[in-house]
Amino acid sequence: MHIIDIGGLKKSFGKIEALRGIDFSVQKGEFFGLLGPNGAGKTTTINILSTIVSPDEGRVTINGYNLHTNPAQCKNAIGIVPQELALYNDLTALENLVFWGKLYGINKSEAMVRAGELLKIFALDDRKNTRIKSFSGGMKRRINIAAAMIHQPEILLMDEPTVGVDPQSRNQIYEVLTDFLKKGVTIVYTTHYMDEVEKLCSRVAIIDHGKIIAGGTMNELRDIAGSDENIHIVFENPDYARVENLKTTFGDRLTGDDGQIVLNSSNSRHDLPLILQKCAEANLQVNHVSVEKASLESIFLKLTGRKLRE
Amino acid sequence: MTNIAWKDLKIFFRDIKAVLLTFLLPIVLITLFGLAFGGLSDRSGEQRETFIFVADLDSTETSREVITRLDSLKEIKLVPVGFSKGKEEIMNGNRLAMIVLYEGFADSVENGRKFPIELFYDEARKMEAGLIQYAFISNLMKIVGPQSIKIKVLKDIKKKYPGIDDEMMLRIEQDMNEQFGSGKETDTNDEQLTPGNVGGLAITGLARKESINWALIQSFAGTAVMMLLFSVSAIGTSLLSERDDGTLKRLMFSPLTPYSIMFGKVFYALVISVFQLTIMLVYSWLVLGLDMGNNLFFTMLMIFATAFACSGFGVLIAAFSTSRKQAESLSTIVILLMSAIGGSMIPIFFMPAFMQKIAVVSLNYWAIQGFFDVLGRGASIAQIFTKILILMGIGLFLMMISASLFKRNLSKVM
Repeated sequence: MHIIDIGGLKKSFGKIEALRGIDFSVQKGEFFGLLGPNGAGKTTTINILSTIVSPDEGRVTINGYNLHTNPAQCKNAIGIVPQELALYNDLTALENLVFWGKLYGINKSEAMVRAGELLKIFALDDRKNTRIKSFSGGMKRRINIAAAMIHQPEILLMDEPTVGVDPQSRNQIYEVLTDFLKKGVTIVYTTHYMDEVEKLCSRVAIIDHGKIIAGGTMNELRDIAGSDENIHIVFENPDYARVENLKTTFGDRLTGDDGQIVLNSSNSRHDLPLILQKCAEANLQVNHVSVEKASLESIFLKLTGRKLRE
Repeated sequence: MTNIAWKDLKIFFRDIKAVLLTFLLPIVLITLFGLAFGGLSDRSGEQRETFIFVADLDSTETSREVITRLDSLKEIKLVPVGFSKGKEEIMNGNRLAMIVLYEGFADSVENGRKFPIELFYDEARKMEAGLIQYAFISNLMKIVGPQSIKIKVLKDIKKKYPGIDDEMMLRIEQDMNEQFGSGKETDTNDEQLTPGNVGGLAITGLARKESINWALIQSFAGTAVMMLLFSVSAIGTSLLSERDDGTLKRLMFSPLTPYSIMFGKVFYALVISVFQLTIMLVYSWLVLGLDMGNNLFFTMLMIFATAFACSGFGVLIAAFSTSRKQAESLSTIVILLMSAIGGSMIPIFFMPAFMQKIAVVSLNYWAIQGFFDVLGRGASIAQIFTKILILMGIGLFLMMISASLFKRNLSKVM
């Protein structure tokens, strides 16, 4: 079942076409990644889903409700984690969560209970009565996510939620998100961190210049991009001259120095035995061999022609 | 809407600096303005004395008597000086004014002729000299008026009825002495001898209530409204802070409408404004001795109407501006302008006629006049309601413009 269904979505700001006919859908209980460089149209898509920007054209259905005709139901179904730390620094963690909860019509006592639970989940219950201006960046990020969950939405839209977060807090956030996922929450996630998407997302859509240029699971994206694999070889007895000789066979596909080489291959089943044979002939003793599948970064590069942060 | 207001109030009262600026600064200013306008002098029992020169070119018993009696007045202290030196000192700005009693002064008094007397003053201090002139003329007429009139009347009788016998004249004189006193030695009585009675300028203050401290009402109302405008514009800019911090966007994600967000801020501004005005009023009453007026209900209505109008101004500044800096600069300029023309800085009656006409465009004007009505004039319900309705109308109008601007600017924020 599609909990989010978007078709032919268009939005222009003056002469700038932010979205030029976007189509994608998200399954219920799915961890969906939306990838794209700055200005690709990710935030506009999120803003339309959160009902604060109206599309010029197109259809959006959230949890079975048409966004245009039932914005209130759509808003209640969604929790949004904005890129900014959109919290009140002079309120405590608990007060912040209760405030955001009350905006969704939750009464104070219920909001207090839910806020208490969320603070426990995010391991911040011991700081619940501390004003968040004294919190670290990672702690604030966790409260930022908790505030989006206070009204128990079915869908969580997360716009770069881990920017500037230390690895420890980031891992904690991943754990919590995985836990939410298990409870049936659908997560739509935009990020610049490719490793996050690879680690968390079951499906990804790549957006560029206001259009979805590819979508699917990681394997599907690799197939779409036709991305190569990298064969890594580490030598026991490094020898620059002999390594250079290997380049006569493999050309520019082979990079590296006397200690380690990387062979870019579109057919590793054929290339792996061949390079090992050439190494043996060159009397280069191999210490370690690994085959690395194409990363999302390289898929993205291949599909868009630019790096994610450009 | 109330959630936003409650949240903002919580944040506001945690900011000690903001609380002090909102409540303490206006109190200090009211006290200072009260002292400056002389509104606190009656309470302390002190009266400001103005030292002015007197040049007695007549040097008669009558002229000396007049000088002694003028000198005994509370508001004027006379310092004898030579005519030329006195003029020089005034032109140098060392003294406000000089009263000159020319030769023939006593003769004029005794013969009921026009007094050869002149007041020289420093042109640079025209306004101040005007006040002295008022005190001087009214008191001079009380002192020499009866004697002059009595002599003039007796002379006129003799002229009209040349054959009148001395005994009859004596009886008329005795009757007049009973009526006005016996001349220079007469203990003048305000009821009998007003300046109007003796042909001088009649100046009479009218008020429904006696002993109203108008200067203090001016200090309270003028300062309170001006400071309130500063406070609400700061509250208004909190909307822009929310935009900069990203919380406005998050509020927009919630089921709240843009209008409920804006009116949440209005509600917050209104609560703070009512609170601030009430504190200033209570302080002025308890500490400075401000009369609370006859009807506390109308006073509270005026506070609410003023707070409502000011809140409208606060959100308009926020809705109109695109950045905090812009809002701060704009609000400072507009508040100072409105306060200057509306009578917060200088009382309206000091201003020229055209400025007094312009004043009606200022929110300050209606608020100050409204407080004069409820605290001083004891004005009718209709008069008070006119001011209240005008203030509410101003507030409503400003809020309607704000709502339209706010919604339009939101698209730029997102």
